Amino acid sequence: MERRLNRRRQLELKLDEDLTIDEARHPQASDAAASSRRDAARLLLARGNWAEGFVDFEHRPFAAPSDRPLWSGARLPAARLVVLAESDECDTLAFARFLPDLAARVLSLTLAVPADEVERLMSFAGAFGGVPLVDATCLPPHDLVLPLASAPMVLGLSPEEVPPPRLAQRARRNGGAIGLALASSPWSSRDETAPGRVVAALRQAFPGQRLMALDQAAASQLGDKAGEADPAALAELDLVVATDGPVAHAAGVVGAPLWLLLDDEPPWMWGRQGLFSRWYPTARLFRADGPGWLGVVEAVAAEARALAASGLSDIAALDRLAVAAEGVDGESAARAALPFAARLVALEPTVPARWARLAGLLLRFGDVEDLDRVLGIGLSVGARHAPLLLFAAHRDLERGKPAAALRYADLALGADPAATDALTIRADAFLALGDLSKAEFALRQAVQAAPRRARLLVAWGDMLRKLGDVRGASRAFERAVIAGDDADARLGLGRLAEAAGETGLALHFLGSALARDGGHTEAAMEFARILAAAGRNREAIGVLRRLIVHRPSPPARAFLGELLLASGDFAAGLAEFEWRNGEARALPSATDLVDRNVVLVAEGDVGALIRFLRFVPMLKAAGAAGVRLAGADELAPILAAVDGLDGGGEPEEGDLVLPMMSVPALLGLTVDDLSVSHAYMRVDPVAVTNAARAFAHLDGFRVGFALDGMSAADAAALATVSGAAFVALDAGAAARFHTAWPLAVDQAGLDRVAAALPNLDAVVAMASSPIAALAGAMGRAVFVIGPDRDDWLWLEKDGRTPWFPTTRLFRRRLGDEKGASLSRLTDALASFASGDRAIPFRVEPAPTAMAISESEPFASPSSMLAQAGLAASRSRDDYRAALLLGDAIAAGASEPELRETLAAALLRIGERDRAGRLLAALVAEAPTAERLVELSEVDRLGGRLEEALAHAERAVELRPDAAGPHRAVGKALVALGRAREALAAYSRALAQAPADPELLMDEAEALLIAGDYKNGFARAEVRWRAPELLPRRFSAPRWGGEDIRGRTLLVHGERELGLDIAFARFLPQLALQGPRLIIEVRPALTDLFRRLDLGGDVTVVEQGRRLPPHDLEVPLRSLPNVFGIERDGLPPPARFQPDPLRVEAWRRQFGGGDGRPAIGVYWRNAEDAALLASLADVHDIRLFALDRRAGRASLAMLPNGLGMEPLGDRLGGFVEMAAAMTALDAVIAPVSATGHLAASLGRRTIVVARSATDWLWMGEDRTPWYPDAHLLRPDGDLAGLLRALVLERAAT
Amino acid sequence: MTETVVDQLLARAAAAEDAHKWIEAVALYEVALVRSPDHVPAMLGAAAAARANGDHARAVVFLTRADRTAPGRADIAVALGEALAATSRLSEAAVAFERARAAKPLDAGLAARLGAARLAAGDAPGAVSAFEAALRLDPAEPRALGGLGPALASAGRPLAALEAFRRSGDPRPRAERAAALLALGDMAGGFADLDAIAARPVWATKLQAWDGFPLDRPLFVWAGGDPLDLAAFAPALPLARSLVADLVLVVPKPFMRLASALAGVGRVVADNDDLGGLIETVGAAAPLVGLPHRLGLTAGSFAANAPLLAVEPMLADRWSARLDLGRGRPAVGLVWGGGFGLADLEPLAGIADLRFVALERLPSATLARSSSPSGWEVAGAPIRVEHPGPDFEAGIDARVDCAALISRLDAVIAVDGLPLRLGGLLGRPGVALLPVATSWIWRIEGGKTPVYPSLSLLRQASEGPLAALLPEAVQRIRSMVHE
Repeated sequence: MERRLNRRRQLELKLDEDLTIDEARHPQASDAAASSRRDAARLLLARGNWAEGFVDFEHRPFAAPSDRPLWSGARLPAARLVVLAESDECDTLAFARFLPDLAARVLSLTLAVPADEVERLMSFAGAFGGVPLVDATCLPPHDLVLPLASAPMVLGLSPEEVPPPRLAQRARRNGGAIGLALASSPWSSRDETAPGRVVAALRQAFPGQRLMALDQAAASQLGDKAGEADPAALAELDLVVATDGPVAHAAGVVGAPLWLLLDDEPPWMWGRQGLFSRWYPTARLFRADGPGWLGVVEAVAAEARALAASGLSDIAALDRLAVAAEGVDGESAARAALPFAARLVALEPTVPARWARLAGLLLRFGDVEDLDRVLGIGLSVGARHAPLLLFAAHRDLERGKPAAALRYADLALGADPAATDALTIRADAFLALGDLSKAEFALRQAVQAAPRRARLLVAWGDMLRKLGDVRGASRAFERAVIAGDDADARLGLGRLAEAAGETGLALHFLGSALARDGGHTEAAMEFARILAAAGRNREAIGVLRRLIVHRPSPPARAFLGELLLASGDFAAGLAEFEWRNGEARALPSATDLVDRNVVLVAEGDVGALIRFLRFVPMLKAAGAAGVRLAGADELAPILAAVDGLDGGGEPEEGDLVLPMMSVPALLGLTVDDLSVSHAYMRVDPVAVTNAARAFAHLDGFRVGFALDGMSAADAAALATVSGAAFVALDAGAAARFHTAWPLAVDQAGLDRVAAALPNLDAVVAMASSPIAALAGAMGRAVFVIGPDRDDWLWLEKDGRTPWFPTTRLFRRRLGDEKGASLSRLTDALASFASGDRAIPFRVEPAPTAMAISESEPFASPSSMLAQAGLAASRSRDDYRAALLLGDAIAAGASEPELRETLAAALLRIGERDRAGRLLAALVAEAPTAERLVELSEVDRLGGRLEEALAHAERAVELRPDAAGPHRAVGKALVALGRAREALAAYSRALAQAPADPELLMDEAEALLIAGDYKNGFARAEVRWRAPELLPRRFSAPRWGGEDIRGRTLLVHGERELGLDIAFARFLPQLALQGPRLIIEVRPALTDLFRRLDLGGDVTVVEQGRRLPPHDLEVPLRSLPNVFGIERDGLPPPARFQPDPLRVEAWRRQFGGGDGRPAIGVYWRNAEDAALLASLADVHDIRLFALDRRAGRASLAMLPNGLGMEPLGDRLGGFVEMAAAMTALDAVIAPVSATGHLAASLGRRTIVVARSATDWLWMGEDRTPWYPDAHLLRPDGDLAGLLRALVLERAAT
Repeated sequence: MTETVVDQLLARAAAAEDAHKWIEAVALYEVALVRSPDHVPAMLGAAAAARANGDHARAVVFLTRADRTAPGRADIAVALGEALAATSRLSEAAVAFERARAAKPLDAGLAARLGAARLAAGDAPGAVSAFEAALRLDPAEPRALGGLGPALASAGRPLAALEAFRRSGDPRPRAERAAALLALGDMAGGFADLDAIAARPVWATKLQAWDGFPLDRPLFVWAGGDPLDLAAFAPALPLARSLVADLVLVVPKPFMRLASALAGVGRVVADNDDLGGLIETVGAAAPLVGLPHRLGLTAGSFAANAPLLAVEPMLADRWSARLDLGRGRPAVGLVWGGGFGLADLEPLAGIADLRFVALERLPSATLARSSSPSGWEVAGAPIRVEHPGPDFEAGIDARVDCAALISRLDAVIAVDGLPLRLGGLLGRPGVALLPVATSWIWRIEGGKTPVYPSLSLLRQASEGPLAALLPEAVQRIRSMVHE
């Protein structure tokens, strides 16, 4: 590398002084050493290491027909460059792609080729990008030369940066022929030609195809004359099958589908592996898998056979077969689909989707290098193709390059901001980058884009859980379960429940997760873990056993091993436990120990390590010459005192290296072999004496505490031990017992603890503390708190452990009061202190009576779920309620109350169908008014209006004295368009509940629908009392219509932007009364309202900002009430005035030249989009998407065949939207702020109104609110209406 | 002529020595000395022969004479010292070695020998300085290396003693090292040493050594000959008993009666009895002094909730009646033997609110008739010290009367000894008068010991007699009995 740089520098210097030949560059004699170095260089190049490979490659012999110096690639705008073709190093056509880039750096560039090549190459002129070709024997005047094969070097390229060939895509004609070129490569040292059996294979697979020889070797095979491989001839061919040579490159350059046959030592440009190459997108590479051409014919034959069915060029058939093979899971299916995908790519190399499919297949079988190439080519033809970008992002994420992945994901999002795949990859990338909150945001966006996709909800929930938002995570998982009941969501819920201490629920969720997916490893592991923690070891073992049948994995087996060991089944347990390191090692047999130096590799925590040291003498007894311990540095100070151990060591020092925890399996031990009756660890006597002196002042029975990890409450219980002197052995004890004598101010080393132990009468330690094990190993009396679950490192039974004879365990037992185990401990400790030395050895079986009475501590699952579900319902946690009650009912709970509550919860979360089914069943069982009312609601919302009315009327029959049934009747009638009758129903309801604001709102709506605006708007004032609108407090009084000349009036907007736009029509009338106006609207509307010419003193302020002083206030939507407006007296819509310059700009854009009318279309969701289908038949219009938030986001929702032009970010706010609308010929929009705006502007507007019972958008075709707007019901003829509008325009 | 005769005699004496005819050799030397009274070699030869014959006293005579004849000769002084030491005239031996050392001040071995002699004579500080001098001369002097530790331990410097033991490189457990460790509070190390050096009777070798774990058969515990140990380790007996089916204590016959009243002892057997039948029934055995080690005890493990020793009520009644105890002035038991003399009781003169009762077993010659309730008092004491009478402690069973009497006395003032420890075992109030260097049970400092929580400890100042503690002891007794 450095050499090359030096040489370059030297060259550049020379260039400045004098243009002479660089002698060093042209060695006169190339000796054998140089030749072998060149071979090494080619090897480096072939491996893709171009940076280093070119250093030596540059020393290749090169007979320059010029005395000019070599060019270094530096920008020399005054230099004339001649590039010299090297017909013995590379193919001129292949390297031609670099010429334009080179030409950009110099004044002029000429390619010099051998005289006999000129004519042939000229026919490929396009491949040279306009660079002139000359005969090498008569060079034009020039300053510098460059051998062609050095082009990538001077450009500083790497193999991933090879640009595609220059020639534009060919005009393909299906000539029904396959071209063959079988000569050996002119750039290779070999001269064997490709085996002729290729011919037979092709004939067999494609009997209908003519085989055409393109070189002499093929001609002799075919017994034919060799044809010329010029662009015209190549365009006729369905396929070119060629060895590496001029024909292959010609085919590659013109983009003919090419099967390139490579022997085992291909020229370096093809690299060492891969089916595809960046050099030629249409090439499919067949490489020898052994010496010579081994395997190439077989591979070609296999590929040909695969394609025989579809034929070579039937795109539809290829597509069909690719889809069929792709649809099957697994690697082999992906491989089966590969020939079709590769063929499709070769046929249509400029279609990004083809590359995306190929990339998808490669990803499936993990061919990373080809994936890189394919993605590179694909992105070079479709840089914004979302699937390709996602594949690239996915690939980079897997390779640990989250920043790169993020860039691709962002590019994909640029094309579609709501693409959930891109958002999830973005989230994964942020997660990998450690930015959890951004990851969460990305997932939240994804969930918003696809609110019912369980997988996204689960991912979002997991992220929220990581962020500590338990409630949010829980909600996400609940929604996921409701949306699509899957094991992952239930696993998440189980984890949350466990963290919240709700073991019963956690077990339910995990159990039900496993019921849905028996092979769900994580769920099963978690389930087993919680079961074991709850003391239900046997069940946990069962869970793991079943999991291992489904999906064996080392962690599961190791965990099963632990549980089996904990249950005392050592034979099975030790065998499974051998999986703990990811694989089951074959253990040496005990006889292998004889005379070996054994090195034990530490495993587990210090406590485990101390336990296993007991086996050292057994290893010695089995004949081991020496036993050392590796990887236990923290134990080094006390290792000297372990029976039989020869100190620490490193694994390489041993003849036999054993994981520590494999020793019992190796020795074939059982539970009974664990106990060692004597202390097997000792301490340096000097250290003991020193510790003793430090303790000499302690009066009384000495108790050492090791309480790391203990709760403060438990510690308080321990403090009741009286008359004892306490010593804090760890930080936890020092923090909790200020009266205890701290062994050390900081964390005491284990050696200090060990020295202290002989001076202590008893140790009280948490089961998790290594000090518990250390004291046990030293034979001191130990009172252990815990363990909290069955643990094979304790094997607790009746308070004893076989591991340590002087240790007694105090575990929480089934049915224990809180702290009962600790009070048993303190009692025992007191007895021990008063002289009963047998206390540590005492067996303490659990009282049998208690065990029986407490054997059913959990309520039945269904009632537990029902309780939890009802509690969730009471706290309005509807998703949780729906989930838990659903589970409860599935588990057998059948109380009608549960199902009613479930139905209500389902309704509230929008699960109407489930709620409806449930309610129908309940009504069938026992019709009650409440059920019928809810069922009526479900039917009404589901559009079954007659049924809704029938149910409501039945409810009225059952409960004529309740408001609810009457109200339901009213709502059904309103939906049926019978507003007058509805008013009667509402008045009956109001007789029962005269002050119910929601009822009053319903009545107001009916009045408005009925056209009684005066009463309707008056009644609508009650909206401030309804729960969904937060009341606002103003210091100024409400304006009631009195004279306000010269006073300041605050007019404030409400929640719906569209209604604010519609009600703006009342502002001119208000302005006429002469007040100073302050108009407060939501931020999105402020600019629009400022473009309203009201005359007089008007200030528009953003809602949420500080309000200027004012005398009176009135809601914008209360104005018709104040003015006493009737339907007939509606003022015209507000005249928002867009900027004429912007309108002109938009008009120019929409004009577009061809005079077709420009139609703006807005849709919010797939439902809206579906209504646009009929527009596909209207050909003489142009459609523009008025979706200003999402740009091209929702283009994917559109029905096929709609040519929709996105306007995207240019749309800006409502003001810009208004300008665009003004420039459009017509607008189609659903009921929305956009629809209101278009209608207000007086454009030809088609408003798609779903409901005929919206008081503003009701009527057959027109609404009095917008006389110019056309109303269209979903079943209306949109295309016809639009045609009429367009014709209308044409007529005018 | 004379010379020739003497030479002949000496030659014959040497020949007799060669033939191990020591008496004949001594006689020949004596004859020679008669002929030539100042013949130092003859004196030395006679002394050597006498010592070889085991007659150290006779050797002393010859050597003293030689020393006088040829004063300042170190070898003679050394030999004299050795002979004196052999005749247990330890202080004189030390003096002899000092003289030898004065003659050869650079002889490390001599300094070490002096140290050993001083140590044997009870002069621990002197021994320490001698050993240290020896080690200055020769840091590898083996006798000094080995002797410094015990000397320091005896001098009440346990920490330095341990350091010395460590430096000597001799890992074997020793009583002195045990004492030093125990004094420092390292019970684990000290008890382990005590366990290791405990004498092991032949019968015990047939039994399994107890490991301190629960045992469902009886445990044999043997006590050594020292009754002080019996009292010092008695608190471990009930602790051991809590782990085993039964505890059989093997003691010297005189202590059987006393030992059978110890807490935790199920049965007592005399060490000279035939144990054959019993051994069959026993699960394991341990020496009494080894119990704390086997049990893993610390200084905090002794927590007597009940008296560790019971007395025989009839005996107690008898002595109580004899001394008319329980009425009038509080009666305080006194033990001074081994600590100070009778005359040192002078500071107690003039105390009228307390009665003093001797707990010593005294020969009747030292008793005098008295007007006290028992009719006896200690003769020749500066104050009135009552005595229970000549039949006190008269039987074969040692200290049974003493224990019984202590149980009825109001308090005890005693130097370290069995009566004091019995008072501790019985949980009776009392004041212990302790010398500078003392048993581990008394620890090295502090006014209390966990082994005998009822006793108040008074320690001798580094200079000053033990008896100087008496006034303070009386003050403490007053506060105890008046509580």
